[in-house]
Amino acid sequence: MTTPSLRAEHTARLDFQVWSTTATLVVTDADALDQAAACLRDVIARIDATCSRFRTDSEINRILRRPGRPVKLSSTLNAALGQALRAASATGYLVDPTVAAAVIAAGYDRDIAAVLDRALTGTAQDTGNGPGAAAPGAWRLRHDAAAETLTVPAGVGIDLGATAKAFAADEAATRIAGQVRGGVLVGLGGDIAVAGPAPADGWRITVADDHRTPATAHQTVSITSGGLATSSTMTRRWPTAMGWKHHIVDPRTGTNPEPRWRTVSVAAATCVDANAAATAAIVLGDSAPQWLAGQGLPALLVDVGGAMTTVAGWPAAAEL
Amino acid sequence: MNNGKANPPKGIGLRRRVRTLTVGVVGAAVLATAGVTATMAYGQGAQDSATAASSAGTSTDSAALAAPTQTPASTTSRTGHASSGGS
Repeated sequence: MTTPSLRAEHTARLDFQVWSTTATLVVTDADALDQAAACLRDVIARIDATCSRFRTDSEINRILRRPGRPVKLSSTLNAALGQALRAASATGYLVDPTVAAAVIAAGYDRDIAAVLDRALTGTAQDTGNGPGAAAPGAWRLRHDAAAETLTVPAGVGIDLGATAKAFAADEAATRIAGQVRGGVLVGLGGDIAVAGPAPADGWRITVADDHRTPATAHQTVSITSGGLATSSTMTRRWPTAMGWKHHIVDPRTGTNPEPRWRTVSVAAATCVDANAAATAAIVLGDSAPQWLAGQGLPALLVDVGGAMTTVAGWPAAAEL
Repeated sequence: MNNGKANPPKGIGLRRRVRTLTVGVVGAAVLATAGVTATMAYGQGAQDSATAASSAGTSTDSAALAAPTQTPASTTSRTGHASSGGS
């Protein structure tokens, strides 16, 4: 006899390292795993080649070296930028891609593994101690989505880190579901997108401070469509002479937001929207639950002391 | 002999202390005002841009975060297909 918790599920899973974090791929048709993996790797490669601020040869960095005039975009960057600007507008510019200079001033000027290595080996004691400055504002970018062009004013940097990973997860899940039978889950560094038919009990997602560390888990929930993303101040953080800093910067001040929530998980129609909302909630602080509820976005907020708040229908957390 | 009490400043010393205090208070006020102004300017820029963007037909048209078709459900399972957390 097979108990429900032990019954076999016909899913296949693949995990691999990318962008100093973990990519997870799960498909309900095990025979489709190889094809799905090829599609996921292709999407990741396209996003990396176009959106990475750590590659001097990336498309976005080439554009930033030609300020003040319209530049033709690849279809991938056009779509990724469109999502970033939509997320910025929808969050009242609390998630703003022009925050790049402030993120770099905080010390996040290279891949996070290299940032940590430099911080822990003490090779640049003065890194990350500079004063923050407000982001120039995404409204200064001139993006013509129809013509696929972008004009960046001189002195304005772009960091698509807040949305590119989630966009990649959405893109990969949608493409894979269009190519193979069955359902698919794509997770990129904890940003989850699902598409196609879900397993019978839904896609079970464990939400945690750090997606790689089970000991930091808060709850397991299930979703059947869309996206679920988590933003946390407990990861992508590094020590400086001014104390610990992390990757979430308030565009209004150019500094880390006042510590109120350490981790926020949000479910939305897409992973990009879930991730934008989660990051905006950490920046907002006290008013985040009200803001999320007003948007109808189910969310779990964990404060700096570990106390949990749920809004907009997110199930109450049970003890794990 | 040190009797444990500092003599109160007089003359030039007193003027120097008052000047230092005044510069400090005025400087703090200027910095605070600049911070508030910058925040207000940021907010105004965001409002202006929302209007400009929608009239220009850019990718920020009708921007709103979309809620899921179904809210997440609780599950008794302790194991997930995947984890969502900071990375």
